Amino acid sequence: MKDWIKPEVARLRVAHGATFRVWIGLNQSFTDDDLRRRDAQQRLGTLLLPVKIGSEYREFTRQF
Amino acid sequence: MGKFVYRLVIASSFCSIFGFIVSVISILPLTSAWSTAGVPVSWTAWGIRALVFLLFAAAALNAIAVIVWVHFVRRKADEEDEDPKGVITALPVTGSTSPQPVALRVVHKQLERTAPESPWTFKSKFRVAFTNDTGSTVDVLTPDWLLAHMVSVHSNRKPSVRCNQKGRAAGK
Repeated sequence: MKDWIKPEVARLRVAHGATFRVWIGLNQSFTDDDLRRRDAQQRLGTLLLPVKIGSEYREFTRQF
Repeated sequence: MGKFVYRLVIASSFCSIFGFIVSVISILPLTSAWSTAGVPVSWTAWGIRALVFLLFAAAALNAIAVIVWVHFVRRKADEEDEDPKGVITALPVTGSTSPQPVALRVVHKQLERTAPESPWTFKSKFRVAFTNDTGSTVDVLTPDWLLAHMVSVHSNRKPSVRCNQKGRAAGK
């Protein structure tokens, strides 16, 4: 909770080998059990993250 | 360009300018006004001082050029490369992305359930930590779908993206 309210950035430069975190707000109509089940089945959703490598824009896509 | 390099370049440039001033002062006694004051100066001393003067003059000119370049050209280019603070950039991602996969490795993921501190924050969150395995530095940008959502609902929120220590999984 403490981390959630700290200042956040719109753009993050990540060096090779470095680690960064992303929080995604989930639909609040789902119960805890629903979300756990979907997490276990990898049915939470698809995360799309735009990234820029050099001068090239790409899109990272991953199903969670 | 890092701050250390900036400072090093600026410091060396000022040293060159200082050397130029010293060399000017050292050559002053060689002028006709000072020579007639009864200070004899040999041709060798004159030549050495003139050479030092020319060297430092060239260094000072170079230093001024470097300062101008650092302050007005390079720094401006660096600033343009960075997003201004507090501004969320719309991204030209859709339709222009490369089909090649991006090597971001998931090192940690976790569901979070907390009480929302405001009506605009989610009580259910999914936290993911990635390690950059692309072999080069990448810029992680605000997704356009999140940008649209924030404009309509979360006008004062930014996406939660934060960098951790190198090689350290998030939440550990």
